[in-house]
Formats: sequence, structure tokens, C-alpha cells
Amino acid sequence: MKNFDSVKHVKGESVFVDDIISGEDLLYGVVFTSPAAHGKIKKIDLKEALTVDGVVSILGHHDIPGENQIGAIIKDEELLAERTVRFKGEPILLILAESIEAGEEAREKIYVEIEPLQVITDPRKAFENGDLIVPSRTFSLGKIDKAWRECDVIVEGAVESSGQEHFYMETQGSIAFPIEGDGVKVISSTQSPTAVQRTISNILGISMNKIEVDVRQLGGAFGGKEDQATSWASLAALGTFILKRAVKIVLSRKEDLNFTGKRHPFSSDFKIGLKKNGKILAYEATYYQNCGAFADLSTAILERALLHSTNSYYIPHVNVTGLSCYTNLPPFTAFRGFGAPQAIFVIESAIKKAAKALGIEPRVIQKLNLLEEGDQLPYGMRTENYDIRKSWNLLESKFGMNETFLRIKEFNKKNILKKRGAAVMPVTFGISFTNSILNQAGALVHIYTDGSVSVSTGAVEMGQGVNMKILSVAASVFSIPRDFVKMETTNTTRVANTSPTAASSGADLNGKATETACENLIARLKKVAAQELNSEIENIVFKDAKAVDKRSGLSISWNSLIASAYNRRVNLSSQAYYATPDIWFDKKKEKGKPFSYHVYGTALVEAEVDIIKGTYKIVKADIVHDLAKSINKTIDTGQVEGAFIQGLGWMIVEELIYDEKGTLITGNSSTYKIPDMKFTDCDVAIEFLTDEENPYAVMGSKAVGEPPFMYGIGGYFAVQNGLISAKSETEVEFNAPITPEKALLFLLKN
Amino acid sequence: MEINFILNNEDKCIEVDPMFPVLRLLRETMGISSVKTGCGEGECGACTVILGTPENGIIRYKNVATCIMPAGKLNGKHLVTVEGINGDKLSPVQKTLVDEGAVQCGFCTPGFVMSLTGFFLGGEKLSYKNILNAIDGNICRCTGYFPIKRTAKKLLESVSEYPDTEERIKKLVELSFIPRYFLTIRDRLVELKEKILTDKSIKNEINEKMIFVGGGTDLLVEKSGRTGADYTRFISNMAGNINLISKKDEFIRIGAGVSVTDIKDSEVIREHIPGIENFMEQVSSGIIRNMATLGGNIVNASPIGDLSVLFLALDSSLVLSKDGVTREIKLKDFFRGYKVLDLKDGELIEFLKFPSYDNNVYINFEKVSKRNYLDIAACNSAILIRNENRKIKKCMISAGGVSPVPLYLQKSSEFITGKEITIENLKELSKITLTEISPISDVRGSAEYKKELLNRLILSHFILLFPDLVNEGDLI
Repeated sequence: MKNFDSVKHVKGESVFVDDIISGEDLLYGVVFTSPAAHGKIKKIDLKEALTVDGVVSILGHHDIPGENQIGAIIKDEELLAERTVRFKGEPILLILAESIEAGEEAREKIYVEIEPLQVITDPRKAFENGDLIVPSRTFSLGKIDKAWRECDVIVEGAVESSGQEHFYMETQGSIAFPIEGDGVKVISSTQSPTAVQRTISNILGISMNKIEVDVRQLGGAFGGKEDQATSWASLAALGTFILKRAVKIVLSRKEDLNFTGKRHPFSSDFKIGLKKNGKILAYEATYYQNCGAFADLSTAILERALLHSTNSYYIPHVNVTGLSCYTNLPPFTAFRGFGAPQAIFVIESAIKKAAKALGIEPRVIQKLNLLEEGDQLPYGMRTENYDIRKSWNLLESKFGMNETFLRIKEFNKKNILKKRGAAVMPVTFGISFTNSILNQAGALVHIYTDGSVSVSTGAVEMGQGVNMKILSVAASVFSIPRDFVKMETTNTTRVANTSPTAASSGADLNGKATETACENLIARLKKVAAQELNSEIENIVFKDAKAVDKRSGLSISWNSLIASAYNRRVNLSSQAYYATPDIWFDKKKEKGKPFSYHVYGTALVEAEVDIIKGTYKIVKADIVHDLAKSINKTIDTGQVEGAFIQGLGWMIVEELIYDEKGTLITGNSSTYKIPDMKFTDCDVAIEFLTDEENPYAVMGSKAVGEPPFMYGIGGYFAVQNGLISAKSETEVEFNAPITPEKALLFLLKN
Repeated sequence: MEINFILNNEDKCIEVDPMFPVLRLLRETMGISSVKTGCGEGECGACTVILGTPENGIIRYKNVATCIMPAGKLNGKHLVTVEGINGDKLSPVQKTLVDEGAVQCGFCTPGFVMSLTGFFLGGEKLSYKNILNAIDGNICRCTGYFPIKRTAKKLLESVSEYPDTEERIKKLVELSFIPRYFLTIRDRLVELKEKILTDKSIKNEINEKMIFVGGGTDLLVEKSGRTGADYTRFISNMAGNINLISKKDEFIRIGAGVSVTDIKDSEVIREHIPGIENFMEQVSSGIIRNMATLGGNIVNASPIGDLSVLFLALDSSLVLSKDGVTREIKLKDFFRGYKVLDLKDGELIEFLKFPSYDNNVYINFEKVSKRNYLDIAACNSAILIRNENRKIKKCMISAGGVSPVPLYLQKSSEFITGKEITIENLKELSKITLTEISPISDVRGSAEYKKELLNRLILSHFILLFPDLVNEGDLI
């Protein structure tokens, strides 16, 4: 089923923030940010900047009428820095000008004196200094101290994973308009309309009902607009509130790369203990999470990392500790997977190293330890309706996993200059916001007198197809053609107190709320139909845009029914609400049932390495992925393919490099490289597991956004295995991303 | 300056700074918002349009990135955005993208629509490889490209080849790839040309303060170029050898204004540099190659300039001119230091020339970058070898990314010339190469890496060109 939204996109008619044109009254906001990664602001001189033609005003923290604070979980982040700056790119001043050029010229002319303070970029160093956002957290299961004694082999090591830029194609941006009564309307490229509304209310010191936030669609987000869209929206609103003029702030790509946070780099230690046959008995890990200068969503992200520390394996004795470390880099933030990919990379590295010590293949250990139905995870929850072995077995039986490894062995025997490598990558991912409170959603459904339907929810469309899925839910409950239904913008005046569209849960939560709203309406319409058809309510069914009396066979068309309902003064609007049942988490004990359910699957990834040049490419991937009853297979396929490539990007091409002064060296699109069309010059076969209906999400479906991202981790090990087959004696590192430089230097090691 | 062009189906005559980016002109002045600002550096393709240029009585359509295209280059052209493709129904390109699920967030989508449509309009040979090359500069962060490739494949199956431009445009109108008005464009561009030719306000004189603009792609990325009609001259408007590829007196000449695409597709060059199309595929992306010129790439003087490195190994020379006086200089002598050239103010590269080698020479170009394609090299290298009975009669090697300038490896080339291709000699060669280079650590790689990499690239030349002469096992 194609996605209706695509039509306006291919015609170039979709409106993104920067496409909203707003006449002569529009002001452009240009942000002056800190040139230093850490320091005290000693002096600010605006004299020269204010003389630039077209500059209307330059605002600083003292112009903020409310509280100068945007921290979502922990209140540690100022909208505009007051005394101290903590990362290079931190906003200090907002220039409002009649043109971007004038604003940029003024920015050049602002003089700010900053007394430098020590710059920390390494999370381990931050930990030594005691710079943690919150005290460390530890999840444990079993008795690890005892367990080590029972192990035949114990392996320890360190793992590094670098950050990742979201590189949503549409950069961060917002436009604010004054509305009567000292209010502000903001159109923002945000995943969190309510967070934007709440923060602006706090910044401006006015109540939330005076702020309307509207979101049509985002040109990609991937978590990068969950928390980090808020500051740009707040700045635009501030400008509008003070000057009573429309203000647009859209970051250039370079600004976006340099000012905003990315996926958290993690530096980790592990210790793993196994029996000779590969059975894992004990696993210990410490994650030094590089959080950057402010908390942002770091603590929640660390929590998800801890929750995914054992990936798809049952390990009886576990002890994992997470440390959220402040550094002087941009505040790292949500990114597809939300900490889970980093933790999963650590355990997969541990297995890889353990396999070498045991002289067996990593996949032997992986398969032996796969979670079974009812197994307990380190956070206490047990797996339910869970069968990851099915995906593994399909890779063996249908995709010839073992034959692939044999074929590669042959290939490597015959070829000296080119080597192949493969890796299996099982993934288990918990669905629900780990902060249980956020698992709620609302929907507002109107049926107009002509029978057309309007649906508003808290979900934000950012390419993931949530609108099409929800539209399908409404059409399905009403039994009407999909083109009767229109998805509205996400607007805080229509659906209030929304959770971010994140955690893969957009369709799950908002779809459920929509389903309920539609069912409410159906209940009212059944009554009308029963009256119209001289029947009883229980005999009315909805089918093919008709209400049918299943006894008499008589029917009334949807349109006539709606007209009749209106004439009978029946309420044709319904608001509904959904909260995920039975989820909880006790942070004191670090135990609970944080997830509604798990999504699982397994991938087999194959790479080819050029042994002379140290270059490599992925040549093949087979993925078996659990979808349950998919609402839209085209959309879900797109999510799996896209997430896999994004994961590969993180692991084998995208390199985020900060120098010791906190400057992003790969800070423009000619140096930060995401997968291009030729990067994906590989065959990817995807098989979905769709037999089981998932009882915990809308229409038996399962969430799909994040889990497949982690199949990309298999790419790292596939490339590494290719390299190893040329240099089997050389000790490998676990330091993602792998790059052609790291590959060649590995090949040259003696 | 005043520029006259056709925007979709509308004739436009506007006053604009010739170096103003077309993307901003479209979005801010023309009210066209389907072209998106994705990167401003020609790296993402969200701003792709199709540009039709009249050439010898026909229109040649090419895809270009507008964020780094100077507005002055629009003069006399047909510029097509997705608004100019839209009809009552979706075009086959649009429809197939929708059907295949090739659209997620939609921000990159208009760019893909243009690149795919432009491919069919451009008349390149219909092959999967070629259609992929046509979209190789369009970045999509959502899909992983798979459904886009499925779209490309399906579209290929639906169209036959029409080498004749007129007929092709007619056929594409019939198939609803493009609207009917495309049939009127040729005559309208002829009219426009007359109007431009009779425009007295266009000045042709040249002075020392002027900057000569090839594609303008680098200048707009760096935003360092001079602007204003009084200070810019587009090479593409100049007459003579500067926009031609030709063979004369046993030399191949490539005009400074010739685009990378035209070098890649030239029969003359393909004949003399076998494999050129593969080498050029590693240079940037289609939407840039269609604009970027040989002269621009050389005067940009980037130490890793792909074209400079390739032509250094071919013993190329440059023919420069100023005030009607020409002089010739070896390309290797043209680069004097980091971004320092043997080029006077107001002096212009007319063309590059290299000897038309016979079929007994082997030429190869190697490049390694972080991302295999659409990236700037960590190191690149080219080689030309004439070999008789295991003995190297002539050998020229060049390297980029290992010194302040694109480097001709003089000592290495001299050493290996006259030698046999043996492992010992190759090992000795790599030692000599090391004495010639001075790489620095930067964002493209550490100095140590670049040293090793260049060594490996040179090895790769020999392995590729002489697979039977080199015992693979001894090399690594």
C-alpha cells in the first residue's frame, strides 16, 4: 500500500518550515554562538554589530522575560548563555534582522571576550573529575562475583563508539508569529510540540494556552528534533514576543552540524565469562557516556543502553553500570536506537573477543545464548510472545547462513587481494518510552457532514509514515476508503500534552488513541444506523463505506448515515486517549516491566575488503525481522532498509571527529559523509515474520522505527572479519566507525 | 547583469548579480520552493534542477545542483524544476517513486524527481549503471536508496532509446514524463539567444581585476569569488578552443571550460585515455560534473584535485593567454606552492594539452576517500606506463594529498623508467616515493596513513595494469 503523503512530496508541494513565506514583516534570526568550548563570558560588545543596516535588535539572556532555562529532564541548560559557556556553538545572542545577510554581517561584528576554562572532551576524564549528571546506575542479575569462578574463560576489553550526526535533510528551523493577546504561534520542525510549547511558556513567562505549536511534517528527524528543536523554536518565539513580528530561524547545514547534538559517543569496558562450549555465564560492562555540555535526554538514553546491555542473549549473571559524563561538546541527544546501539555494540564486541579466546566462531556463542520465551532480562522483565530463534533459523534454512560462511572461506582461500567477511547480528529491542509517563497519547477525530474525516493526533510525521498508518487505522475502523480521511497537522490546540514522537512508538500510541476515538464514533453511528434501518444496534456492521443490518441485509451509505447523524444532532467528533497498560519501572531496584513488548530479528551481513587499499564495501545482507501484523508493509520495508543503512553509516563510514579544543573537525557536508547511493551497492533481502498478532499495539502490529538500525552493527564485524582473514594473528580493536584509514593501518601492523 | 531564461514554461528577464546562487534566486525571488536547501555545498542534491542548453540547434538537458550554480550561467537556458514537470497526473517518474515507497520524509524527493527525469531527457544511453550515475549526487537519509533504485530499474524498462533529441523530447511528452510545452522550448531559446546577442549592456572587455568563472562550483562553496557583472566573466561564453575538445598536431586539447562530464563522455578522450569514464565517476557527482570544468579544477589548485592529478601523469601542458599573448607551461610547473599558481592577474587558461599516446601505454587513476564515492580523496594517484617485454620504457606517476600541490612524482617516475617490473623494484620505488612527499595530518587522514596509502595506490596501479607480472602473494 503506497503512502498517500508521497504524492505531495513528488510534486514538490510539501511545505517545510523554510518554505513558509511570510511577507515583508518577517525577521530572520541569526544566532551568535560561543567560539570557545568552555569559558567565562567577560565582555560583550554589540556597538558595531548594531550599526549594520537591517539589524533590528540583538537579544541576550537579560531580554528573556521568563526563566532562562530549556533543560527538559534536568534544568541545566540556558537558552542564551549568561556567565559561562560550556560548548563551542552554545547560543549567546540572538540577532534579529531584515535579511539573513544583515544578521550574518552583524554576527561577524559582535565582539565577545571569553576567559578560557579547561576543556574536557573525554568522558573518562570527566568521570575522574566527578562531572556526572546523575549518580551512576547499575543493573544486575544473579550473583556475578560467584559466577566468574565457574567460567572456563574470562575476557576483558574496551570498546569505543563514536557519535553520529542525524543529517536530517531538513535542518533545524522554526517560525514564530505574534497572535493577539500576547500569544505566539510557532511552526516548528520538532518531534515534541508540547515540549516546545512548555519550554516557550517557561522562557516567556506566559501560560501554555497562549502558545500554539503547529507541525506539518519534518524533513527527517531520527531523534535529532526530539529535544534539540526546542531551542530554535524558543529563540524564534522570544524574538516574536519582544518585537511583535514574525521571526524565522533556519539553521544552515554548517550551523546545524556545529551547534546541535548528535548520537552519544560511548567509551566502555567489558568483562565476559563463558563455559568452554560458549555458554555465557557472566557479563559486566561500564559505559562512559559522553553527554556533552548539558543533560538533554542523556539520562534516559543511558537507561535504554543499560536495558539493552545483553542484547538478545540470556545471561544469568549480569552487572552493568552507566555513567553520564559532562564534557565540553554539544549536548548529545536522541538518535534512533537511543543508547541501545552503543550497548549492543559492546556486548557483540565482547562475544567477538571471547570467541577468539575459545577458538570458536562468534555465531556459535550468539546462537547458543539466544533468549528464549520466558527468560529473564537483567531488569527483571521476562520475554513474552518472543521467538528470536525463528529469525535465526530462517536465516539458516532459507538464506543459507552456513553456506555463506563456507562460500566466504573458499573465496578467501582463492583470493589474496580481496577478502570477504560476514557476521550475524541478532537484535532485541524493547518498545515503550522507558519513562513510563510518556506512554500516553491523544487523538481528535471529526466527521464532517459530507462524510469526510479529519484526524488529529500527537504524532509528528517525519517520513516514518505514521500519518499513513493512522489514516489506515481510521479508514479501517470506519470501513471507508482511505481517501475519505485526512491527517491534520500536529497542533497543541487540537491535541494537548503530547509525548514526543519517538521511541518507535508514534503509531502504537497515537494509532491506539485514534482507534478508540473512531470506535466511539462508530458506537454513536451504530445507534443512528439502527434507527435508519429499523434494526438493533448489535445487528449493525460497517462494511465498504456502508452500515449494514446483517439480519435484513439492508444498508445505508456512509455519507447518508453521517447526514442523518447530523440531523439527529449526534456528536460527530470524538477525542480519545490511550495509555499503555501494565508498564512500570522501579528505579531504586532497577527492576520492572519497562516495555510493552520486544521486537526482534536477525541479520546476516557480508562485506568485501580490498587488502591493498584498505577500502571495503557491504556486498550483501539478509534480514529476518519481526513485524507481527503490519499495517503497511511498504512503509515498514522502508523503515527496515533505511534503518539498516543508517546503522551501517554509523559503523563504517560516518566519522564525527572533535579535536581537544572541542571543535568539530568534520563540521560540514564535505567532511561528514553519510551513506550515498553507491554506498548501498549491495543486495538486501528482507523476510518479515508476520504470523503472530501483537496484542500490545494497534491492529496487531509492532513498532518498527528503531530496531533495524542495529542490524548495521553487523556491518562493522563483517568488515572486521574480512580484514582478519588477511591478518588473523593481529589483535583487533573495537573502535567504531571503522574507516579506510583504520583498516589500512590494521593491515599494515606487524 | 540582465539574464534571460525560461523557467519551466515562463520566459524570464531579470537583473541579478551573476554570482548569486540559482537556488536562492529560485526560492527567494521566483517563489519556487520545491528546490530545497540541504547543504549549500553541492553535496546533497536537494536543490537539483534540469538545465537545458541550446547546442548546435538542439537542446542538451543536464541535471545540476543550484546551490553552487551562479545565476549568470542561466542566461539563454531552460531551467526546469518539479513545478515544470507537474501535470494533471503524476509523471511516470513521480508515480513510480510513490508506488515503490521511495519517498519518506520528502525533503530530498523533488531532487530525485529532477535527476531521474533529467536522465531520460538528457539522452544518455539507457543502462542501469548510467541511471544510477544520474542520481549519484542525491543524498537520501531515510530510505537507504533501495526503493529509489527499484524505481530507476522500473523506469528503465518503460522507455526505449531515442538518440535523436527532437524525437526523444516528443516521445517523453507522449509518455507524460514531461509536459507538452517542452516542444516549444527550442524555438523560444533561439529567440532568446537573439535577444541576448543584441543586448548592448553585456560587456566583453577583460581587465586584471576580473575573475574567470568556469562552473563556479568551487567559488560558490567558498563564497570567496568576486561578484558583480563588472568582475566576472563566464568562460562558457567565450569563443575558441576554450570550450572544445580536439586533436591537433599529435596532441589532445581540452578547453578550460569543458565540463567533467564532457571529458568523461568524449570519444576522443575515451580513445586516448581508456577507462576515463570510470576514473571520472570517482570525481564528485553527476550534478556537479555537469557544471565543474577542467580549468576550474586546475586553478582551484587543491592538492588533491582529481583532474590535476590525472593530467599530471599524462605529461600535460597548459596554454595560457592574456591580451592576445599566449604561453605554454608544463602542468607540473604550474603549481608553485599551496594554492599558488604560475598565473598572472587577468591571465586565462585556454586549454590543456597532452600527447596523443598510442595504444601501447597504460593509464590508471586510483583514489581512496572515506566514502568510496562522492567524496574528496585522502590520496589519489595516476600513472602512465609504456612497457615492452617486462621493461618499463616510460613511466609517469602523480599523486594528490601528499604535498601542498598536486604532485608529479619526478624521482619515482625517473627511477622506475627503464626498470623491469619486479617486486624488488616496486619496493625500491616506494622508498623513493617517500622521499618526494610531505603529507600532513588533516580531516582526510593522518600523515602516516597518507604515506602508506599512496604507496598502496601506486602498488594498485601495477597490480591492475600488470596482473600477470606481479606475484600477488609477495606484495603484502
